[in-house]
Amino acid sequence: MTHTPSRAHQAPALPDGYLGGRLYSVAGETITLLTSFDVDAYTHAARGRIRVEASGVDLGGPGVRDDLAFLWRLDSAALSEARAFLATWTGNEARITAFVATWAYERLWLGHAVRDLLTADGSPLPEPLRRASLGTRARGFYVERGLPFVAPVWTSIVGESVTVGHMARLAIQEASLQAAYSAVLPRLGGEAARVVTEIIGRRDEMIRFFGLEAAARISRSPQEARMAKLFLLPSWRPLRIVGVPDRDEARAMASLFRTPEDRARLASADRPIRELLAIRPTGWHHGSSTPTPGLLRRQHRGVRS
Amino acid sequence: MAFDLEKYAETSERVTWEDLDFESFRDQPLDADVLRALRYMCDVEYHTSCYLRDLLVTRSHRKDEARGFMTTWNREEFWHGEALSAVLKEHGMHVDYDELKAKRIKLGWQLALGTVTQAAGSSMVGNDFIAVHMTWGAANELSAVAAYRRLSSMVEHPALSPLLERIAQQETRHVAFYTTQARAKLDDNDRAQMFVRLAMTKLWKPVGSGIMDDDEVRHAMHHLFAGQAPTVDKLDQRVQKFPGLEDATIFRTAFEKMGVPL
Repeated sequence: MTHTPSRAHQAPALPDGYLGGRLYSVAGETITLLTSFDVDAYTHAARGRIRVEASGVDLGGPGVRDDLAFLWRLDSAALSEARAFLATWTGNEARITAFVATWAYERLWLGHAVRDLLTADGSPLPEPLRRASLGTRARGFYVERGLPFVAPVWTSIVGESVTVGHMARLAIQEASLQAAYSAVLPRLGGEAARVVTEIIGRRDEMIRFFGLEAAARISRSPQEARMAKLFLLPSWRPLRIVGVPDRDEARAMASLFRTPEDRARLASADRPIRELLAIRPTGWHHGSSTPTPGLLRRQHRGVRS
Repeated sequence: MAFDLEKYAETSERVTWEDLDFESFRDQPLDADVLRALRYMCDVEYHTSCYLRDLLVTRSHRKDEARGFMTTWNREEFWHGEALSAVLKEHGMHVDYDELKAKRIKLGWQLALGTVTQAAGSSMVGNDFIAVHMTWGAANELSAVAAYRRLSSMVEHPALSPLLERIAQQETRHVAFYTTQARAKLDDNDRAQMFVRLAMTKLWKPVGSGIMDDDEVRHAMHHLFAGQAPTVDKLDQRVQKFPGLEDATIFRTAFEKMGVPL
C-alpha cells in the first residue's frame, strides 16, 4: 500500500461523501504509526515454500528430531498467535494487518519446511508423550474459550495502547525462535542444516518489523511503555503458543539451549526491548504522535464523524 | 470437487496488475457508480482480516487444513484490495492504512463484539459451527466471483476488466475450498444441516454486510445484480447442492429484501 499521489489527469466525478479523496479518514491527520520498515516492499517480496530434498535429510539421534518437532509446533502456530491479537484492538491497525497477511504466509512455509524435514524418512510427526499439567490445561482453556470473549472488550476500551504489547511479544518470540533454530543448527548437517539456515535468515525481517513497531510505540507515549511492561511480565515466556506451554517444553528447552552460548543468545532475544523500556527515549516515531484512544471516546482524531 | 490445499498454497500468487494499461483510466475514467461499487469491493477485500478473526475465534482454527487455507486466502484477498485500491487511486480515491483503520474504528463495538458473537455461536453449537462457516464462506465467494465477472462485463474496460477477471479466477479457488469443506461437514449430519439451514436462510446477507453501511451494500448489489435474475438463480442453484439447502433461495431472498429488482 503506497502513499504516492494520484495520477488522475481529468478529475473524474467521485461518488458522494468524499473529502480530499477520503471517505472515513481526514487528509493530513494520520492515525497510523509509521516506522522505517517498508511494509509494501515486504508484502511484495513474500517468500514461499522452502523445498526439502528428502533423500538428503539425516536428523541423527532422537534428541534432534524431538527438538525440531517442538519448534515445528511453535512455527505452525502463527495463526493461533494471530488469533490472539486480531481479536483485539490490534486488528484495527491496518498497517499491521497488511504485514500480518504476509507474515502468516511466510510462517506457514517455515512450519511446512520443518514438517518436511521431520517426515523426510516417511515417519509420522512426533507427538510429545508427557501429559499436560493442570496449569497448561487451564491456560489452554482460557485461550480457546475465554480469550475471544474477554480480549475484544477490554482492548476496545483501552484502545491502541494495547498494540505495543502484541508487537513486543512477537518481536521477542521471533527472536527466540531464531535463537532456538541457531542452537540446533550445529547438530544438523546436509539438507537439514541448509533448511534450518534458511529458516533462521527468513526471520530477520519479521524481527525487524515487530521490533521497530514495539520500539516506536514504547518511545511514543508513557501509557504504551507501561502496557509493554505489563505484557512482558516475568511470567510470560516467548517459546509458547499464546502463553500455553508445549507438553515437551521442559525437555526441549534443556536440550535446545544446552550451552552457555545458546542460553545467552536466547536471553538476548528480549534485550533490545527491555533496554528500551528501561531508558524509554522519546520522540522516536513517525506518523501518528499518540495512540488512538479506545471506543469509550465518541470522537477520534483523524476519523470523520 | 476435491481440493488440494498444499497445491493451492504452493501455487498461490498475488494478483498482478503492473502489466495492465492503467494509463487508460486517463482517457476512459470510471463513472461514479462503478467507482462506488469498486470501493465497496476494495473495502471488503481489505477487511478480510476482520472475517479472518471471526473465523479464528471459532473451532475452525483448530483444523490444520483450515489454518493453511485461511493463511493463503487472507493474503490473496489482501492483494485483491491492493489491486482495487490502485485503480481507485487513479481516480483520486485513497484507500490507505488511515482510511482502513478509520473505517474499523467507525464500526466500533459492532466490529469488536462481532468476535464475541462468533465465539458464543461456536461455543453453543460446537463442531457443527464449522459447517456454518464453510457454507457461509462458499456463498460469499460464489457471489464474489459473480460480482467481479458481472462488473468486468459491464465496464468492458481495457485495464479494469482483465483485472477483475484475474481476481474472479482466484476467488473460484476459494469457492472450491469452502465447498469441499462444507459438503464434508454436512454429509450425513442432520444437526449440522439444521444449523446451516437456519443460518443461511435466516441470517445470511451478501458479502460485505456487517462491515459496510446498508446504503453501500444496497448500492453495490443493485448496481451489479439488478435485472440479473438468471445469474442470481444460478447462484442459488449452486447453494442448493449443499445437503440440507436443497430448496433454499438465499440470494434471491436477500436481494428482494434489499429491494434489488431482479
